[in-house]
Amino acid sequence: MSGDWTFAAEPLRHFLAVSAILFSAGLYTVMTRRNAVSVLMGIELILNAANVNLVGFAQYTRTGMEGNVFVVFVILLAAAEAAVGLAICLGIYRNFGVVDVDKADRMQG
Amino acid sequence: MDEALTLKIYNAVFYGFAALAVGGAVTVALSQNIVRSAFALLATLFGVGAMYACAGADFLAATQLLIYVGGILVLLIFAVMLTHRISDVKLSNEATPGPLAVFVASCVLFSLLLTAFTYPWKEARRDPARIAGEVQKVLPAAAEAYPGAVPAGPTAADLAAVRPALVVRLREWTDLPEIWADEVLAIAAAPGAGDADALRFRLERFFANPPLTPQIGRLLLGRYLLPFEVVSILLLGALVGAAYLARKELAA
Repeated sequence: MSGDWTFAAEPLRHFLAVSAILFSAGLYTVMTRRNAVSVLMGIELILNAANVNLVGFAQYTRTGMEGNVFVVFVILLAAAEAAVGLAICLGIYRNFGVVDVDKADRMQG
Repeated sequence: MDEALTLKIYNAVFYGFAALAVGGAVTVALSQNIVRSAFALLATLFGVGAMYACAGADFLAATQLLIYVGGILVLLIFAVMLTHRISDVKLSNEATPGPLAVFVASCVLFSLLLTAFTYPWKEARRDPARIAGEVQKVLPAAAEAYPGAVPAGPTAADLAAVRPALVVRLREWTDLPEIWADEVLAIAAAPGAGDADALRFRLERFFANPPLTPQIGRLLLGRYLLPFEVVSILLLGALVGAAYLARKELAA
């Protein structure tokens, strides 16, 4: 006897719910944190939320396999952006002494 | 194995890793200690990778762990450690939480959850039993020597003869029927596949989690070749840019 190998009633909704929570947590982090590295962590949370959405749709609807390829590209772009963003954070630290985004408010010097 | 028990275990695993991901995300958002935020992000990334595996995207789970946890998170922790004085690490993650931020974040959360739970998504569930049954009809049936014997599996010539029909049949369910046909024939040629029930079970397991890596490879080098090349140029630019930005200033 074999039936569907799906779990619960609607697996797609579980993926979308987790994605929603991750996205809001990332958005809150980006909006409220003063430490620049924390802001980058929030951005990574937002990107992961988008990835979870993409994987959910690729695997549980008839969207097709392209969703998974999109996830590969998002991961690549997140890596590139994290590298450059953290180099910028190091530059801010060298110039201002702290990585506080509220204190890095001058363009010169 | 009992179907209901499999379902329960699967549910438990998925909910466990989803809770890990969500708990980590909330800790990143709210913690006062930046090192704790960084390790909570580790928990989130790990939980998300496990969720990819639960969905059957095995290649993406491995990629997530390698690149996100092993690359990006390590880089983030380097940056955390390099941009603080030693005395600062404890209370280093001040936040300015205003009512506006809370309001905006909760509005976004509410609207996303509302869409997720009220929109009638058209889910297409894979039915591996049905697919396995149809594929098994295409495969050559093993001859039964005498009642009670374990039938020998089909010969290589039989399988090669059946391959075109198999490819045509698999085209219904996938864009890469040749790769799936090779895998199905490998399953049919494996020892012990002469028994129809065992073959059916193995085919069901295969169609419940089809191989993702060759499909991604074919798409990346086929239809999505241009974005692939553009991303490699972007990575080169990011490499050069990050190295330039983080260089040690020469004493003037």
